This record gives sequence, C-alpha cells and structure tokens, in this order.
Amino acid sequence: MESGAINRENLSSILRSLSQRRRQGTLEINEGEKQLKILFFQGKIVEVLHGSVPPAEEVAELLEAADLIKEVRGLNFKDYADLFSKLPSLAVGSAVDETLFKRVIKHRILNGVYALENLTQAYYVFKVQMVEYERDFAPLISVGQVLLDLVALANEGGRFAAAFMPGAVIRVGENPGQPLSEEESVLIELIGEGIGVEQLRRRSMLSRYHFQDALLSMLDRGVVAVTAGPAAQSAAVKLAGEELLAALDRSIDKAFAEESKLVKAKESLGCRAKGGEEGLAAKTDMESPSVEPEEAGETVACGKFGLIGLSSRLGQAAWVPYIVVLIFLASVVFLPWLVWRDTFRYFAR
Amino acid sequence: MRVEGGDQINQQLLQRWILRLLFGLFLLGPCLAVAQEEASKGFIGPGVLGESASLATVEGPAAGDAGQDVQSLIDGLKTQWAAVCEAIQRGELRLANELISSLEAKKAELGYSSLEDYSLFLLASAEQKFSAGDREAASFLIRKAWQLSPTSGSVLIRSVRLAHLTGAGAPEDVFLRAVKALISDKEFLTKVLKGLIYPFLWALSLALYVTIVFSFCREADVILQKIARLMPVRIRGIITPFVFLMILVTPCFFSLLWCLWFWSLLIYVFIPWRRWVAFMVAVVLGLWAALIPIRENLDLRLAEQGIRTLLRASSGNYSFMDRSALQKLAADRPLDAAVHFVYGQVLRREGKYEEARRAFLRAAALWREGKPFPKVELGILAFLSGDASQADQYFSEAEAAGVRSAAFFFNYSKVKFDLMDTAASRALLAQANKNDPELVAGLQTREGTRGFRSGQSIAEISLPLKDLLPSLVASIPDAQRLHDAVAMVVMPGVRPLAISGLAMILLLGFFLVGAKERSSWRSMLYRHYSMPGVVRCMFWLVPGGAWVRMGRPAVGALLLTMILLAGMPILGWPAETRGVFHYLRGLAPYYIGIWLLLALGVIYVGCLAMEEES
Repeated sequence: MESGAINRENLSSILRSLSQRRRQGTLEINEGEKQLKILFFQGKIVEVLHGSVPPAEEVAELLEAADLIKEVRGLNFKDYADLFSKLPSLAVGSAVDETLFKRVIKHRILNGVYALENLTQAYYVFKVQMVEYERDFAPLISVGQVLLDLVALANEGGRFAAAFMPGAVIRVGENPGQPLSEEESVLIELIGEGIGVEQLRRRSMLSRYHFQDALLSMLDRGVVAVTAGPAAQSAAVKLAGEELLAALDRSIDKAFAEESKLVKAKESLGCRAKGGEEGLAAKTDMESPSVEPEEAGETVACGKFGLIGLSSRLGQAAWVPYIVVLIFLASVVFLPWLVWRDTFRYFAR
Repeated sequence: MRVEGGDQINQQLLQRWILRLLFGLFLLGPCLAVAQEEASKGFIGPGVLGESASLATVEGPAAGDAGQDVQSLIDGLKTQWAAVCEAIQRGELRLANELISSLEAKKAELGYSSLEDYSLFLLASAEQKFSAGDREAASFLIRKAWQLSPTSGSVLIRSVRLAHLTGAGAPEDVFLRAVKALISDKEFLTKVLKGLIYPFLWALSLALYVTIVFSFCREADVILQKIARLMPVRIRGIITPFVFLMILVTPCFFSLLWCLWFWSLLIYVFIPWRRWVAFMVAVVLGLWAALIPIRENLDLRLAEQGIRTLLRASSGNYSFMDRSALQKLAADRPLDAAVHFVYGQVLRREGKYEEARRAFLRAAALWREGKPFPKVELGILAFLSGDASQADQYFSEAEAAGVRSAAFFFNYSKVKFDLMDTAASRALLAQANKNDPELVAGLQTREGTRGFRSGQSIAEISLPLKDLLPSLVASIPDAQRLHDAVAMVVMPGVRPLAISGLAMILLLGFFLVGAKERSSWRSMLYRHYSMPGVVRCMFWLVPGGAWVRMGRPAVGALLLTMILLAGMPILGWPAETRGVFHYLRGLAPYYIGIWLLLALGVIYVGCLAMEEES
C-alpha cells in the first residue's frame, strides 16, 4: 500500500508511476473533509468517486441539468446499467442514446481527475485491489492524456477565461462550414442561435478541457463568435468596484498603523486559512488571531510570529519527529543497561 | 486484494516452510542442550546404582532371604569397587581394567543397567588426569566409565567435553547417545523444564520490548498527532515532542515488565490497531505470574533427595539409597500417591513384597482418578508370589482401565503363559514386541539367564511425568516469600497474584478497545515524518524487524523470541543457560554457527518478504 502527501508538484509523478506500472487498485485522496477515489485498471483510469455519492447518480444529475431527463431527486440508481435502462422512462424529448451516455460518463470522470490540479496539501493512499467497474459503460482513460489535458487547461485557461467571460453569449461565427471534431460538433449543435457559456457547458456535459479546447479552437477558426453579455458587463464593473474598495481598505489600515490581519497572516506564514477569511478571528486588540483545529484535517494556526507561529512551524517541520524518534530510540537502548542492571544480575547468579 | 501468480504463492510457501523448519530445530535444540547443574553431587563416589533385582518368588521368609541375597551381592560389589579405586590411585590401569571388567560382570549378575556413581567417579578421575597432562589415562577412564554405564544419560552428557578433548570418542556420537538416554530420564527432563522457564520468559519479554519500540518508531507520527490534539492549540507544536518523550521513556525507569505494561496501555490509547501486541504482553505477564511459583517450587523440590530419587526411580535408575530416601519422602508426604507407588516398586525389587503390597494399596486409595498402575504392580507381586490367577485378575482389570504399554503386555504374557493359555500369551507378546521390540528382546535375554519367574525378568512400569508433576509442584510452606522476592525483582512492588491482575487489566483493555483499523484521517501536523535511517536499518537487521515493519508485529515478536532463546546460551544469561557450553564445549562453535545461520535466515526471509510487500 503506497501513501503519502500529494500536491500539484508531485501529482503527475504519482499518476505516471501508477500508469507505467499498470497498477490496479484505488487511489484515495483526502483533502480536508473531501475525499476523492480514482479507480485504476491496468494503469488506466476507469472511475472516479466523490465521497460516497454513487457515480450513476452524478451522471443522472448531469443529464437532468442538461434538460435531457426529468427530475431524478429521490431516485436511486445502482449502477450505470440500471440508470441506462431507466433512461427511456425519464427522457425529456428524445431518448439518450448509448453514445451520449458513455460520453457523459467519460467526461464526468475527466472532470473529476482535472479537479486534482487544485491540490495544495492533500494525502493519498493507493490500495492494490481488484477493481470492479462497469466495463460496458466506463472508459479506459490514459493517464498521459489526462496530464496533457491538465497542462493545456493551465496554459489556455487564462485565454479562455478572457475570451469567454461569465455571461458571454456564443453564436455561430463567420466560418461555420469547417470540419469539426466530435466535441466541436456537440457544441455547434447546442449553440444554435446563441447560448450562454454556462448554459452551453451545462448542456454539453463535456469535460473542462474538451469544452475549453473545442471552443477556443472554433473561436480561432471563426466557427463561433463571442458576445459579452449583460452579466459579463456587470461582472466587469463589479470587479473594478471591488478593487477600489480594497485600495480604500488598505489606505485605512495604513492610516491606523495596522495592516489587514489576513494579508499579514498570509505573508508571514504562507499558510492556508480555513475557508478563507472566516477562519480568522479579527480582533481590534493586538492579540494574534488563531484558528481552532477541526477534526478532519487540521488547519494551520495562522498568526503573527511568536508562540503560535513557532508552534505551527515546529508542527510542520520534518526534523522534529525525526529527532524525537532518535532520542526515544537512544533512551530505550541505553536506559535498560543503567536501570535494569540489578535485575539482570539477579538472574545471572 | 492482490491477485498473486503461482510463482509468488510457491515462494511464500517455501519461505513459510523454511521458517517452520528452522523454528522446529531450535525448539528442540535448547531443550536438549540445556544440561543442568549437578544435582547428584552426593552420588559421586562409591555407590551402587542401576536396576535392582528381586530374586525371590515367595513371600515371607523367602522374601527376606531374597533381600539378604541382594544385600550380600551389593556388599561384594562395593568391595570390588574399593579395589578399583585403589588401583586407579596407584596408577595400575591394567589391574583397574581387569577389576572393572569383573565389576561389569557382577553388575550384569545383579541385573543393573548402569553403575552411575562409579562412572561419575571415573569421569572425575579422568578430569584430574587430563588436567595433570595424562591424556591417555584420561581417555582410558572415560571408556571405563562408559563400560560401566553405557546407557546413563547423565554420564554420557558429562563425558562429551572430555571425550572431545582426549579423543576417547567422537563428541557428536556421544552427544546423540546422551540425548537418546536423557529423553527418558525424568529427572533430566524436569531439570530442563525448570531451566527453560526463566530463559523463555525473558526471551518473550525482551522480544516484546523490541517489537513495541519498533512499533512506536513506525507510528511515531500518529502518536505525535494524537498527543498534539490533546495539547493547547497555541503551544502544541512546542510541547508535543516533550510529552511524547515523557510518556514513552518514563516507563523505562521502572522494570521491564512495568515498561511493557505501561506501553501496552499507550498502544490501546494511541495505536489501537496494534492491540494484539498488548494482548501478547498480557499473556506474557500472566505467564510470569503463573510460572514464578512453579519454577521456584521445582527448584526447591529438585534440591530434595527424595524427589530426585522419585524421578530417577520412575525412570528406571535405582540405587541402594532409594529405599531410605523414598521411605522418608513417604513419611513426609503421606497423601502423595505417586511417592507411595514408586516406593512400592523399590520395595518389590528388594524382595519386600508385603511392604510393597501395602504401599501399592495405599497409592491406589490415594489416587482419586482410579489410576490402573497399582493394579499392574499388584498383579506383578501376585505373579512373583506364584499366584498367577490373582495376577491374571489384576492384569485384566488394568487392561480394562486402559493400560497399553509394551511393558504391561510383556508381563501379562508371562502370566498367561503361567496359566497355560499359550494363545493369549503369544498374542500379548506379539503386541509387546510390536510396541517396543528392543525392550522385549532385552527381557527375553534376561529370562534366558535369570529364569522365567525371576524379578529381573519383569518389565518395569514407569509412571508418566505428568503423574509426577503434582508431586513436584505441590505448594511448599514458606515458599511464598521466595515467590514474592522473585516477583519484586521482575516487577517491583507487586506479587505474582498482582502481576496476574495487571495482565487481566490488559486483557480487559484488549476487548474494550475492539478491532480497529488505522484511521484514514490525517492531521496537518507531522505529516512529513519519515523514519530515521538508523531505525530503517534496525528493521532490516534485527530478526523479526521486517515483520514489524510490514505491520505484523506479533509474528516479528515470536521470531525474535526464538532467536533470543537460542542465543541465550551464547550470552550465558540467564544462569540456567550456562550449562550448555560447560557440557558441550567441543560443540560450541557448531552451536554458534547454527545460531548465526538461523538468525541470518530469519533476517533474509524478512528482507525478501519486505521487498515483496513493497
């Protein structure tokens, strides 16, 4: 059983290792309260589980959100086969065919894996075990492809966010009649006369990478065009307003010779506060704020340099348990010779 | 769950069988190799040992005559022996050789299998000659000692070292002969049992100590995290390491057993998925509590002449001092059935049939479980007295009660033959021959020389050791103080009963904690813990450490126990194990070599298993 810390830096090496060795088992990743399980079969990803939510129910929710089936709240689906068998009775409009169903499953799994790009401090355990998955519906996703997708998401993410801001409306562009990939075809069919980005994302049920890549590709070739919607315009105004308020906040703090506790904490310790600012108790006096630990994953006590900072650093330092164990070992090896000598002598008579 | 190929399964099976074989070798080795300190020093010097013979077949005056005949034969033997001693002192080895051959003939005439005291005297003389540089004389005396006592385990085991030094014989052959003889020697077995108790308990305790240390090192991060959760938030990072060291190291200032007990409580609190280690500690504490009184009582009992005589006589080794020793023991312990039984056997051999009969009847009355042995002896008495019908009745009752030994069948066949029931006699003889052909052959030879109705032609019925154990471990007045003294040394402040109470507390904790899996929750503190290199090395190099590393500390502890137990004779600690190399000096390098092989074997298999696991 392999285990250890996992973060953005070592994610690719861990996944590549599992892929190259064609491992079969479950990769459990715990980050705070959240748990993600990725099932591997012969080095390929076959399923992603979010906590205890059955995957079939997640797929059902995606289909419902895409307005393809009726409301599924209260319905339980054992597995993909069970869901697929019930789709005809749940369909709104045309039935969901197997190709679409499998595509939804695949892209759902991809999105689950892509979520790993945001890992900061998590812990993983890989358990070698027989993996049961639905071979009829589940895909075999190559780790290498996923890693490439993640790189592309990171590289093109900024351009995508800039081109397709929240509230933007996508329409067919000036050069519509070009050869399209499968994902581009799905998107073009849904765009029609115009559709919002969020709605298109919801209805296409594509993974983030494929959605981003397909839209950017079509945008570059002129297959689609983007118009900033009213929401996007108001979002831009809102952002500018927030920046102004933040500047004002800083000037007020400076005037009263007290920096923002949040900024100070982040700068001094580089730690992650619980849920953002809510983890900090902002006080008017000069006491350093502290964060109460939680059961599921301790948060680091953020605060000024001093006792808490020292305590926190010592708790994170790797050399502390190392030295403690060495001292313990030396004690248990040498102490008996000093303290138990009389006992040994008694039995040596 | 890993799906394993056929090759991996075969490799694992091979590893397991290697371990079992090695374990078996070293379970046997120390048992046989622990030859204990002299308990028969009082026998060194002129004395008569070996099987005594009863000559008479009638009761009354004839029985008394038989006793007188035996006594005169014994006197003759003593005179002959005195001459041997003089010849040795004068250095007249040729004369000594002739006298010893004559002595051997008298021994055979009397029906003795060995003259152990004389042989031990010869060995002592050989030791003196060797120290003086006379190697040939020493070798001669050793061979003469074997001549007089060819089957005495005590003589053989004491002669191994000298045989090696003087070249009188191959030490491994002598050792194997000694082992074969000692296995049936109840006195030796009891001494081995007594001598194994403390080494075994210490090996177990030390192995558990090492195992728990390894477990704590392995799970240090979990323990630190759990301690940190209990500490105030502001200072937990500072204070947690100190608290960790304090609670783990402080128990070491007490005794080993106290340390194990406290650590077991910590296991229940911090790493409950390792509760089986604490369970083993509970078992070990219980063993200490139970075995300290047994061991000390055995020690006191084996120091008593009467008990040693009881054990030797029930193994078939007799001396002329047996009757007086057992008479005294029977008077001291009027309610001990085994003592009266063995006393009766000694009386029978000396021809005192009526006294023997009374002793057997008393033993039968005292044995509440209705043991059939007195019936067998009463049958033998009846046969020797000429009353075959009465003997037949006794033997048939004994057979119905479940007696099935070769000796019993042989004696019963004689009774049937006496009653002219040749078919039954032949069947019983065949049964005896099937069980022990060597015994039957020897007795038939004796029948040919001594006569069919001779007491020397009777197969001896010996009590099993388990029936003698109650006599050995019976409570001794004022021994409680000794038990308490030993308990105070191993676990200061408590008596054996209190030690068992502490063991019960751990057992209770085991069931209260229940089966637990290691939690998947991970704290943000001490996340980057990796074991120091020196600890990793110890996991690889300490036998059993690999299994602790793999999360199987119980297996690791048992393997380490085995290695420690086998290695104690090399250390010469505890004191009981020192006798091994005293008697086996020539074999010491072999023993050390085999021990090293065993330890390396365990380490190697552990490393293989660890690599496979990773």
